[in-house]
Amino acid sequence: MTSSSLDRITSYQAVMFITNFIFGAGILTLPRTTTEKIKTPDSWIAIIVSGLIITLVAVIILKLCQRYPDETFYQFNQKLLGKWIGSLLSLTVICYYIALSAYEVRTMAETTRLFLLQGTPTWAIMMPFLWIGLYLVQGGVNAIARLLEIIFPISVLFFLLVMFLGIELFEVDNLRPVLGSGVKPVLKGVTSSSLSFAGFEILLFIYMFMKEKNKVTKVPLLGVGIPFIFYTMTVVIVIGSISVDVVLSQTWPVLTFIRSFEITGLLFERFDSLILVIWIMQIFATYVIALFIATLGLNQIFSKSTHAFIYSLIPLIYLVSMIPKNINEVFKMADMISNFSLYLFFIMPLVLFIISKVKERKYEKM
Amino acid sequence: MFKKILSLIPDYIIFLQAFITFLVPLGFYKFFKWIHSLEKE
Repeated sequence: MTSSSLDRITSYQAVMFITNFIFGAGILTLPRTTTEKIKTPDSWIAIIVSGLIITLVAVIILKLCQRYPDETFYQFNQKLLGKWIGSLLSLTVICYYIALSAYEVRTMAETTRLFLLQGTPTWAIMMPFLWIGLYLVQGGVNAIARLLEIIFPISVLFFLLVMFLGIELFEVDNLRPVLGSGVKPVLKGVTSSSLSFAGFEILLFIYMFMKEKNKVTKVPLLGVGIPFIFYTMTVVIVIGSISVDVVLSQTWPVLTFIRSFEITGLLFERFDSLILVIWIMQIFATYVIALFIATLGLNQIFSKSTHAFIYSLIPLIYLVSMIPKNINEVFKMADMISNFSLYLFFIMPLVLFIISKVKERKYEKM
Repeated sequence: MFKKILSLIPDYIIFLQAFITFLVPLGFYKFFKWIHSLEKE
C-alpha cells in the first residue's frame, strides 16, 4: 500500500477522513459521557475547551507530518525512535485500531438489535457489515475517501434536521445555572470530553496520501472544527431538551431525545429509526477507516500483501467484538479504548515532535 | 489474573463464527479469481 499516483486524496477528502473518523458511535452517548463527571449542565463548556485543545494537538500532528511528507506514522516513527521501539509502537497502534473497529461493529450491532432488528442474532448483523467493509478497504484510500464524501452530507443533513425538529422541547432553564458549581467540575470534564474527539490523529496516517501538501493548514482546523460544532450543538440541544438528570439515566441520550417528540403531518412521525439507519453509515465509516489504518500498518511493518492482512483481520475483529458479554461491558471496552487513546495520541505526537526537533538541531550543529 | 484472562475468551461457537467470517469472503475472492483466470485463458 504505497502512495501511488492513483492512491491520492484531496484536502477536502482528508477533512472528510478526520471528520467521519471523529464521529462514529460516540455521538449517540456523548451528552451522558461528558455529563457523568461534571454533573452540571456545563458540559458544553468542557466540549468547547477540549475542542480548542484538540485543534492545537491536531496542528502539532500536522507539523510533525510535514517533516516526513512521503511517509506514514508507521514509517517515520522508526526513524525517530529506532527500529525496535518504533515497530513496537506501531504494533500497539495497530492493536488499538483493531479494538476500535471491533467496538464500532459491536455498538452498531447492539443499537441495531435494540432499535431496528429486535430478535436478530448479533452475528447476522455483524458479519455482512464486516464483509462490506473488507470489500471497501480492498479498494484503497481513494475508494474510502469517495464513500466518505457521499456519507458525510447525507448523515449530517438528516442529523441536523432531526435535532432541529425537536427544538420545541428546548428550555434554556435546563442549561442554567452556567458555571453554577464553579470552573472545577468543567475542568474535570475536559478529559472525558477530549476523548470524544479521538480520531483526529488519523492525519498521521493519511498525510502521505494527500495531493496538495502546501494547502493543508485548513485540514486539521476544519477536520476538528466540524465535529466540534456538531458536538457542542448536540450537547446543548439534548441537555436543554431532556435535562441533566434524564441524560445521566439514559444509555443512549441522543436517541432518547429523538424518541421524545413526534411530528405529525410529515412522512415520518418518529425519527429514531431513521436517524439510526443514517448513523449506521457513519459507524461504518469509522470501522472502515480503522480497518484501513490497521491493514496499512501491518503492510508497512511486514512488507507483505495487503490482501492477506485484510482477510486475516476480519475474524480477529469479530472475535474481539464478541468479548464483551453485555452492553455494560461494551461501554467498559469503550472507556478502556478511549483512555488508551489519550496516552497514545495526545502525548505521543508531542514527544515525537520534540524528538524530531532535537534531532534536527543535532544535525544542524554537525 | 489468569482466571480473568480465561474469562475473556469467548465460547467455541464464537470461534466457529469467526472462522465463517474469514471463510466466506475468502471463498468469494478465490471464486472470482478463478473466473478471471478462465477469462484470460
